[in-house]
Amino acid sequence: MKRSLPLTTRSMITFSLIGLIYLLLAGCNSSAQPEVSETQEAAPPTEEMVTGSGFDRHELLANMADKVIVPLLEDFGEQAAALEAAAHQFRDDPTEANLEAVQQAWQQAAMGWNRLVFFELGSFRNANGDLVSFMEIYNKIDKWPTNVDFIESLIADQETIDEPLIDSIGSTTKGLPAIEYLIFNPAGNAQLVSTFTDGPTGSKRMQYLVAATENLNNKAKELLDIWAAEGDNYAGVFINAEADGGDPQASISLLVNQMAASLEDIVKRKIGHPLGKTSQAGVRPELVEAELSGISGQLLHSNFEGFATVFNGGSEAGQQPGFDDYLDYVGAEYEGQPLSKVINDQIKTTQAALEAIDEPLHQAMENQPDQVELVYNEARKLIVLIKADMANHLAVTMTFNDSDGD
Amino acid sequence: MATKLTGRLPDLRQPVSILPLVVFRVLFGLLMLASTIRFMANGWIEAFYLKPEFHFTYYGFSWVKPLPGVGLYLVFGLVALAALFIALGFMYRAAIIAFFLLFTYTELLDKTYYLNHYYFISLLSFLLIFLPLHRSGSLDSWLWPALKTGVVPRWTIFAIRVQLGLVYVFAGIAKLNGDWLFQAMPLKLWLAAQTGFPFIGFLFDHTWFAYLMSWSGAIYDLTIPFFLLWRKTRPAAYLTVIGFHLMTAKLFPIGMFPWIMIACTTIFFSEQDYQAAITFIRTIFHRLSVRVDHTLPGRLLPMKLTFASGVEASAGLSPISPTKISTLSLSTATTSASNRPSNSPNNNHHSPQPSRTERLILILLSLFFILQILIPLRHWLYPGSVLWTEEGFRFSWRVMLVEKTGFTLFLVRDPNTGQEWTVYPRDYLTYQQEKQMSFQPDMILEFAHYLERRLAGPNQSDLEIRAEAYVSFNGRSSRLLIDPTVDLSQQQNSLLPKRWILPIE
Repeated sequence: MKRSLPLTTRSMITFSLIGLIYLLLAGCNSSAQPEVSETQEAAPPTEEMVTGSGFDRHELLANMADKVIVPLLEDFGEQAAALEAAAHQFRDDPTEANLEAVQQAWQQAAMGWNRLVFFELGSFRNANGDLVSFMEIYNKIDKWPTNVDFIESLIADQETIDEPLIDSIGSTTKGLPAIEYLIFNPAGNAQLVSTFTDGPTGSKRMQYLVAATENLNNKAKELLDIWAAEGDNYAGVFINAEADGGDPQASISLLVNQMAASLEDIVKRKIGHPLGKTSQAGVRPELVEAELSGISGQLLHSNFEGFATVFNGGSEAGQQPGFDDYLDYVGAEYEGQPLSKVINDQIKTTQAALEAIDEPLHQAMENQPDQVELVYNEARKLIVLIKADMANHLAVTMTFNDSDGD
Repeated sequence: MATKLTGRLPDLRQPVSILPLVVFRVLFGLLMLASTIRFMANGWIEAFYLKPEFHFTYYGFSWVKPLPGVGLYLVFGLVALAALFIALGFMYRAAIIAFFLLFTYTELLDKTYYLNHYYFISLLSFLLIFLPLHRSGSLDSWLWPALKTGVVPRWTIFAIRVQLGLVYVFAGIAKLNGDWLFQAMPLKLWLAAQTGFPFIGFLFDHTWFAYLMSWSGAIYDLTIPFFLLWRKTRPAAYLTVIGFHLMTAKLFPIGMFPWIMIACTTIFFSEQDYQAAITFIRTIFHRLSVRVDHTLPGRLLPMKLTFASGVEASAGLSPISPTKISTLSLSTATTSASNRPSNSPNNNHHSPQPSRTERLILILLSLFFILQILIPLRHWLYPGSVLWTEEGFRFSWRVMLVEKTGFTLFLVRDPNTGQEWTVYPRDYLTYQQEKQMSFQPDMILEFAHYLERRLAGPNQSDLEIRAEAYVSFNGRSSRLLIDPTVDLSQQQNSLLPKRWILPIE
């Protein structure tokens, strides 16, 4: 039988060290999660810890939150407040001119909102431990199509309609689409004003409009509060990537994945569905967003503007760090050209195709379907560049923390 | 034949201490328990298996469906219970058979979630069915003392080492490709995204570092089993195992894999290694206690260590040389074996002939390992790069080998009306499913067939379904993966080469 060789002292030392290290590491690992999050709250990652590389991704995140997202939210907040004020003015003095003012305020708010669709960043726990869901508040602001029948039944059945009532009802009966339904009508503004003044339901329709704009304004404030330092401080969570122990890649992955998902959803629902690209039902212009106001094209334009802003972290020419700079930094190319340039060019090509349409989208679907299809095809190329190429170079699916990889 | 085989390898039947198997069983059971609890706690049963309306099945296993209602929770609960029983060594055979069957069942439900380490666990748990892991340091050996043994034939330990060696070596061979070695891809992409890594993160966006990591990763995989086998390099090799897997654990979201490998590679340690380590620690304590003896009268560390081999060594104050311990344990083990010569073929090392059961097991395991050598090489039967076509990609230890992203749309055409429309797969699939499908041809085909069934109505049959699949792979510009002119509804799923996959170059 083979006897054990006498072991050298050195290998015994090594071996026992291994055992100790393993135990220590196993111990560290099992308690790593709470420890990390606690220290994160106490002290956000210092510069030396997270920089080191030639491209500071925390700076990109800080720029995104502080210089891009929060200012856009503030704009929308002002627009929502202006819409509420216009609705109050219209209630106090229901003239055609005041209705027009409401309509214009609504258009501004809707366009402002459509720049913000790429920031529906899942959900998170605030300092009190409450779960805050972006999807929930996004739905309350803009869920379309709106439920026209339910709005009418509320107007018919309720004694009075106020903001708390609007707040309590479902998302398809409030927000921007519900307000649009109330203040735009093909019959014309003169006739529309009378629906707010005449008959048994007139005053309740006015109450609905006012309550819906008040509720929208409240939601805009709430959303800004979610990001604000004095509120839930999501900006801090996002910049310091607190959910993932200070790894900026987690927030970058979250944002890039949301950019891709929102873009795909926009292209599919706002162009694909009404253009008859996604079913056998053929062209269905009534499926466009904002058919009544006729600004579906402008809203789509706002979407691409918002996309360009988040992609560039501001403006394309600007110095603020965005994904364009990040892609340049990692040397991402597409067919021999910088990927950042290819993506910016594709955004512009899509925008140009959209700008060539000089009538509301629902009319263009029937009158110039080829031009709408061009927008659709250019936008789909943009999705490929984001979902396949950009995601690849930034390794965002690899690090998207929803399951294990291998 | 079996006689010849075993006759030629007499060394493999030599009795050795069972201790490595006992340690392995306990670590494996506990890790599987933790892994299963983690899976349930993350809500993945609901999210992965119950919520999706459609599942991507493995070829030949499309009949495996998730149990409805609480059924699947029950299965995972039983997997956890089996893992606990394995750790305790309680009703071991039943527990390991149940674990293998139920765990493999859950893995077969949807290939979206295929991970090499899940496949490894299925293989390993199958292997463990045939090994006597419960015959010491277990509830079984306590309840049924006749089971208890201090020694086992060397092959029972060697089989697990072979299993681990295959994983590492094939993972290493898979890295011997142009992207990995000469482009440092995909590590270059992944490292650049992790520059916040503690201490060495600042190196991560330097190309030379990505090359260093790629090459050392390949060399590590190809050589580590041999360094672990060789006694002289074993301690250093195990330190490397720990370092390597901890680094991957921090770098990548690869779940339990690093911990599983760190635990499993303990099988390379022999009883002598454990003895030496314990002796050494005892020596340190002894020296310490001598120094502080006057402050702490009496015995400082009245440890009593019970070894799996049945050796009781009292950890007193006197240093015991490693040689002495080894001799003691082995002689005791030999005694216990010779005391019960007919108890089990496994410790009957005096007999030159293996029992019928042992022979059968050896033949079975030989076939098992031969298959495992052939399966990772099957990609040679397919044209093109396996990293692009993914034909022969799975079950081949191609771990962390590609960064692939894609966007796939399905173009549906009704030949009766000539109508064409596009399906966005996200409308039918979860984020995870869509992501995985978008660059894997067999999944694209399976989804196309699902769409054909799903969209077929009373007036609608023979729908044509084509895929527009743009895929970016290891930093290359996105390009079409699937021939967009081919009607996938007419293509049968099979193991034959898929002619409708477009070549990459």
